[in-house]
Amino acid sequence: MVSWISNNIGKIRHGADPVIGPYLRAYAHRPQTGKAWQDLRFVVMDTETTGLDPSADQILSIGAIVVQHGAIHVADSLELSLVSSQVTQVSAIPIHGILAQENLQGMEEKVALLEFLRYLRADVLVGHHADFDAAMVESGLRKYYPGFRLHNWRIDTAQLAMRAEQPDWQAYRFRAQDYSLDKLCDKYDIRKTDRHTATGDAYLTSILLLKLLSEMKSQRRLSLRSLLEY
Amino acid sequence: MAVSLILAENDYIFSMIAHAIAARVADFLYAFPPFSFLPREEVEKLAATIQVRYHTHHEFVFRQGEEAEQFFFILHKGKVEIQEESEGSTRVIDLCDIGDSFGVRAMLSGNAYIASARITNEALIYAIPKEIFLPLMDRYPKVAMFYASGFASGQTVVRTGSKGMVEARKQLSRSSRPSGLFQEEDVIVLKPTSGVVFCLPHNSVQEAAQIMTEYKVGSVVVANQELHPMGILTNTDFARKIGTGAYTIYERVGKVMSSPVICVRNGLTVAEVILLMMRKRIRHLVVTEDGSPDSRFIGIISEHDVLLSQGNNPAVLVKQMYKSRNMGELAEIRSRAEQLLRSYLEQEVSISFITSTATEINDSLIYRCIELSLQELEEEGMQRPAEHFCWLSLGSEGRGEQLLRTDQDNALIYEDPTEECQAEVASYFLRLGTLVTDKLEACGFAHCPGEIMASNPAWNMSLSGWKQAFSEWIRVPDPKALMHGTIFFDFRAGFGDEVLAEKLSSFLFQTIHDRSNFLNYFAQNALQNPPPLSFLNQLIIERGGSHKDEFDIKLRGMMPLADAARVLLLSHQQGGITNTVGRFEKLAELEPANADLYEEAAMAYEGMLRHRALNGFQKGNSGRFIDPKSLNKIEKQTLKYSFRTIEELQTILKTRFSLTVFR
Repeated sequence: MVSWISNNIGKIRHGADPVIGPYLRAYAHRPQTGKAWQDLRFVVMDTETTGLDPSADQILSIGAIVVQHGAIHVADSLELSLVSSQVTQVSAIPIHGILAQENLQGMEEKVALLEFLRYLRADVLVGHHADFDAAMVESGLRKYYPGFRLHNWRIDTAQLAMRAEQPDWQAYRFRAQDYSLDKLCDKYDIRKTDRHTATGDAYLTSILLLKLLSEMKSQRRLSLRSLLEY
Repeated sequence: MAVSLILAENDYIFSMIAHAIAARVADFLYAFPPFSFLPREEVEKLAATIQVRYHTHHEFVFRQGEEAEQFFFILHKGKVEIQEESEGSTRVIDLCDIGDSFGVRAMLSGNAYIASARITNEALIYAIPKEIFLPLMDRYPKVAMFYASGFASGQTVVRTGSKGMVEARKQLSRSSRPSGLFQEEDVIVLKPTSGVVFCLPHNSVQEAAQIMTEYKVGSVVVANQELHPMGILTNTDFARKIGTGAYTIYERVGKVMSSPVICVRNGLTVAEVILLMMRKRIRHLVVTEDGSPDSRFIGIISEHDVLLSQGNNPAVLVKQMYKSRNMGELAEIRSRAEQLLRSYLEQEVSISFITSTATEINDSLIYRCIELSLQELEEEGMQRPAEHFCWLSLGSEGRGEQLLRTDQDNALIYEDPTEECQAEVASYFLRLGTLVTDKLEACGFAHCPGEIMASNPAWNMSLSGWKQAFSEWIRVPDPKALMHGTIFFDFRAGFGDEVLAEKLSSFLFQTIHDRSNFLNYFAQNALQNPPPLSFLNQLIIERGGSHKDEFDIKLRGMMPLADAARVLLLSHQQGGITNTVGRFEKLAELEPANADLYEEAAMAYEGMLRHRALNGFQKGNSGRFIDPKSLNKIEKQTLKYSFRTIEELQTILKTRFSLTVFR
């Protein structure tokens, strides 16, 4: 309910914006939950950020790739690098290996995030710990569009992996550290290249998604609803 | 280059950012043919358009009979089997390795898939879109050639029968060698020395000498009024014919000159010139307008010109062999020849030139060893019998394919002696055989472990002795007789009276003709070693499913081809050709319907000869065991394709010699 209200507040306030407007109106075109997985357009994304606090940190880059009809579509992918005002003070730099100079070449935050929205449309958002990536996008856009919220269906591959293992999934039975992208790549024999770049991680996540879907589809007819029910 | 991005004001900035995924895909594709033939930018552009698919075990990428997709596939990770279903049974016809292409043919033709692609465990597959790939094929002929030549997996099940395919394979196997640069040494065209001086046949020798002195040349062409060459007068002629007093300086040139001259057309390559000079044992070639003696001469090519054109030269080595007087020297020259052959192999000189050169070198060595041995026997006081003899080279040397100094296989045949001197004649030739084989051993040709040598009384016989042995093998084709057949039927005269070899040869054909049943056994023998199915990573995938670490290229590749060529040509009653490649070429001529297959077999054999020789030179051994890890993609695919060719040849043998009866 809270989500519905904030979405509608956003719609009223920013309906005239050439990007935000169409995005918010696309809410009505979100896929039906009965749709089979093959017919869905999954936007698998990852972000690199200056830290882990969506309210204070900033996105450095976004990588996203589409999974549709059981295939990863390299042609339908997105790679955005953002200019950051706080590059020098970030704690995440050692992890991501981004140099300040590289970052200077990026796009303005607002332009980049709007581009991402245009690409995302009303399709299913997938990420490893997708909630965090979604929160980063939302808080970034709220600077320019107060009250903005993402309305897309959201799938977290970490939780999907747990569910693929045990259909009667209950979170407390799992140790979160066993479900990091790194660990899952090892487990599912996915070759790790370009780790810790947004695009690289998005790509690994998309392979993981394909493998998980393939594993789960043997269980029963796999619809969007069954993917969301966790 | 994410296609979805439409941001005019940031186009410039965006283009600076490499698309990480496409770059990784490109890295992968770029490592494998045919993408390795493309410029890197093209591969990157292509990579940005692909799909990545994941399949678990037993899933199909596509199934036989299904309509072709608008994609073809590259295996990125995992294993894929190509299966053919017919009459309810499924047969694995190919295994895809990482980087292999499949589903290409159906995509290109738009026809249904002729086989299924099934995942054996799990697999990540790159799907390459047709509309992006087709323009690349148009713009880069090598890519089209790669697929036209049947390198993609699952393509080779149906023979297209097109000439273009054979040609494409030839070009590709030449141009795509990993070491890159094709050395053009043997295709350099030798220019004749122009402004050649000549004299007329009625000039005196003295006049000729004056001309040669005036123009400071070592030879002069003798030509008639129309300037057609009639002969040549060289420094050697002056030394041998004038200096010795055989002729006076007032003799007419026409009487003293060396004649006839070997005439050639303009534009011969160094390789051709060397071979011709070695074969004819001459030092000068006269170049005429149309290559015949009945046209005007335009120049002269001397051995000296050849020498200048390349430093180390087989013709010179051969000449040194004929001159050398002791074994140490002869062995040393043979080792130098080996260096030369090795450098030819590494420089990717054509294999036919290399084998011809190696054969000339080996033949000359044998010739010289026999000459020296005959002298030794004379010095020992052994009287040479009146009976003619002929030295027979057998096995790979008999076939003219001995690139490495492996075991020697040889025999000796002599005219039937009269009864009273039989023992004496036999002991002389056995002594000769022993001397020669010892000399050959000193030059690096090991004794044959099976004692198939002229030093063995069993293989040092009179003509009738040989006829008896041959007819015995043909009459009772037990495994040993068949094994002997594969070695002895490849005999080639190496020294002495070739008529003896020819007599034995025609006897062999007649006997086989009279007992056509023998060829069925001989063909059966040629089927002993079916080729393996494929290479996968480091493994050789045997038909039975087992695997080994090393590939025996002699047993599994070359012998089946040589055996098939031998028996097929025997069935045509064709003699005179012992060379396996030559045999296949002859077969292609005799059976136009199978010409493509035979041409491919010849190519496959040449490729394996090269592989084995290089491997042998590198390891300092017989080279027959090849580590699949040492092969690159093209080499593996080429070998794999050769296995198909062998399989098809063996099918022909089975049908032609109704071998199912024997099973």
